[in-house]
Amino acid sequence: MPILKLSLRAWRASPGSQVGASLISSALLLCVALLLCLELSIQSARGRVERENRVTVFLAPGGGPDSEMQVTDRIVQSLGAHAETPVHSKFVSIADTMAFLREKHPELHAELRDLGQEGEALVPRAVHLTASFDEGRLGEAVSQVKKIQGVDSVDSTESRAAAVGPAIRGLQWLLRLLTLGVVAAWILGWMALARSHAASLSGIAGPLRLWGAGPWTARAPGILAGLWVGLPAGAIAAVAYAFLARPALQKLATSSALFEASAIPGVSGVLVLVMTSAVAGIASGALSGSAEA
Amino acid sequence: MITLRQVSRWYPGSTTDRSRVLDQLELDLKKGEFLYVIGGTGAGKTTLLRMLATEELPSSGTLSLFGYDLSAVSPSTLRTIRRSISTIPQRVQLLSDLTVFENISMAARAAGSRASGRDSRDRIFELLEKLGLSAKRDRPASELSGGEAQRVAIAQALARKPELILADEPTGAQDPDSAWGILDLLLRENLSGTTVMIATHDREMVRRVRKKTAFLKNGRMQLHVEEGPCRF
Ligand SMILES: Nc1ncnc2c1ncn2[C@@H]1O[C@H](COP(=O)(O)OP(=O)(O)OP(=O)(O)O)[C@@H](O)[C@H]1O
Ligand SMILES: [Mg+2]
Repeated sequence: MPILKLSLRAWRASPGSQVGASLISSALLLCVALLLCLELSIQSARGRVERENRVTVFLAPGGGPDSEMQVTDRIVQSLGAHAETPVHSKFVSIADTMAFLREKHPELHAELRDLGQEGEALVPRAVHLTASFDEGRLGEAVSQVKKIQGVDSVDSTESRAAAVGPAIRGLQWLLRLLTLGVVAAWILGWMALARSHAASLSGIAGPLRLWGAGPWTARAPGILAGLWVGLPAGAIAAVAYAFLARPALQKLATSSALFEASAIPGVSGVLVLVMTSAVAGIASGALSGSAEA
Repeated sequence: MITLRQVSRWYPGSTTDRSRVLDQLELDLKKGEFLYVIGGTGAGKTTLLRMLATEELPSSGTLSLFGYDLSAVSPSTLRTIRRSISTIPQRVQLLSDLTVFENISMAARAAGSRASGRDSRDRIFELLEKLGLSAKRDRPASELSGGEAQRVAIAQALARKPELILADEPTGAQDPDSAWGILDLLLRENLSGTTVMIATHDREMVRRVRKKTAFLKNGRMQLHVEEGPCRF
C-alpha cells in the first residue's frame, strides 16, 4: 500500500501535468498507429498492383451475343482457376469498338462502315481481364484460354504498374519517415516524464535499497508512476482509435483503391495500443529507477 | 560479526595521510556486543557507521560483516546483509507523504519479513506506544517535530528485527528523559541478542551506562574494553 501511495505522488502533486502527459502521449501513439495502418495498407495495395496482369482475349469472328457471353464466362473461369485474385473482366463488343473509332479515328470508322458486313468481321471483339498471377502461372493460364472454342488469340502483359510503383514507393518512404519522427517524439516525451517522475520520487529508492529491498521493489514506485500515465494514455488512444480513426480509415478504404479494409486492425489494434502504452510506462519507470540507484 | 582490518576512508581530492577521515582502523565486534563510538564533531563517527551500513565502501582495508568481505559480495548476499542491519541515521529523512505507521511498516516489509500482517502491525503499535507516538500513528510524517521524526526512525529500525543496529546520535534530538527511554530500548534489544553500535558525543550517557567504547580522534580509533568506573 505505501508503495502504491508513493507511486501516485506525481498525480497528487501536479495532476494537470500528468493529464497533459497522458493526452500528448496518447495523441502521438494514435498518430503512430494511423501512420502504420496507412503504411501497411499501401504496402498491400502496392503488392496487388505490382502483381496485377492484364490479359486481352480476342474472340474469333462469328457467333451472336449469346455465344459471346458463354465464351467470356469460360475465359473468366479458366483464368480464375490460375489466378491469385478474383478476375475482373470487361467485354468490348463490335459496337463498343466502332463507337471508339468514330470518336478517335473517324476516317477508319467511315471506311469500315462502308464495307458493311465484311467490315464488321474485321472489327475485333475482345475481353479485357485483370488479375494477379503467381510467377509462371500466367503462361499456363494463357495457353489454357487459347484452347477455348471461339477464342482467336490472347495477349498478356506483365505488371501495368511500372509507372505507379515508384510513386507508391516514394509515398511509403515518406510515411516511414513520418512514423520514425513521431515515434522519436513519443520516446522523448516518455524520457522527460521518467525524469520528472524520478525527481518526484527521489529519496525512496535509496532507503529501500539500504533496507535490503530487491531491485524491483526499489523501482516499483517509479514503474507504477509510469503505468499511471501509460495506462490512461493507452486507453485514450484506444478509444480514439476505435471510435474515430478506425471508421475514418474504413471509409477511406471503401472510397480508394489504394487502401484496403483488411489492413485496418480491429480489436487487436485496440489491445496493441493499450499494451504498448503500458509497456512504455513500465519501461520508463524501470529505466529511470536504475539511473537513480 | 563486524571485522575491520586496516580500514581507512578518505574523500576524493584529499589523498594525503593527514586528511584521512578514518585511518587504519582495527575492530572486532562479536554478535550480541554493545559498543559506543564517541568522538568530537567531524571525528568520523557517521563515516564509520555509513561504511558499516554498506552505504559506502572503505577507501582501503577490509571490512567484513557477518563473515562477508564487503568489497566482494554478490548483490543478493549484499541484500541479505542489508536486511539484517538497521540504521538510525543522524539526519532522519522520512517519506513525508506517508503516515508514521506507513513509514515504519515499509521499513519492516523491506526486510522481507514473512511475518503475518497482523503480527508485524501489532509489533509496530507496541513500538509506537513505547516511543510515545501512538497519537501520531496515522498522521503524515511531514507534521512531525525533529525529535518525533527521530523516534519514528528508531521504530523503523526496531520493527525490522535486525541482528545489528547502527544508531548515529539516536538521542541527538531528544530531551534528557526521552533520551534515557531510547537508550533503555536499545539496551533491551541488546539483551535479547542484537548487536548494537551507538555513535554519540553524549559523554553523560557513556558514563551512566558503561559499555565497551571506541574513541575516534584524528582518524585513529582507541578501544576501551573495561566496563569499570569512568575515567573521563
Ligand atoms: N561526502 C563527503 N565528502 C567529503 N568529506 C566528507 C564527506 N562526508 C564526510 N566528510 C568529512 O569527513 C569528516 C567526518 O565526518 P563525519 O560526518 O563522519 O563526522 P561525525 O563524527 O559524524 O561528526 P558529527 O559529530 O558532527 O556528526 C568531516 O570532516 C567531513 O567533512
Ligand atoms: Mg555524525
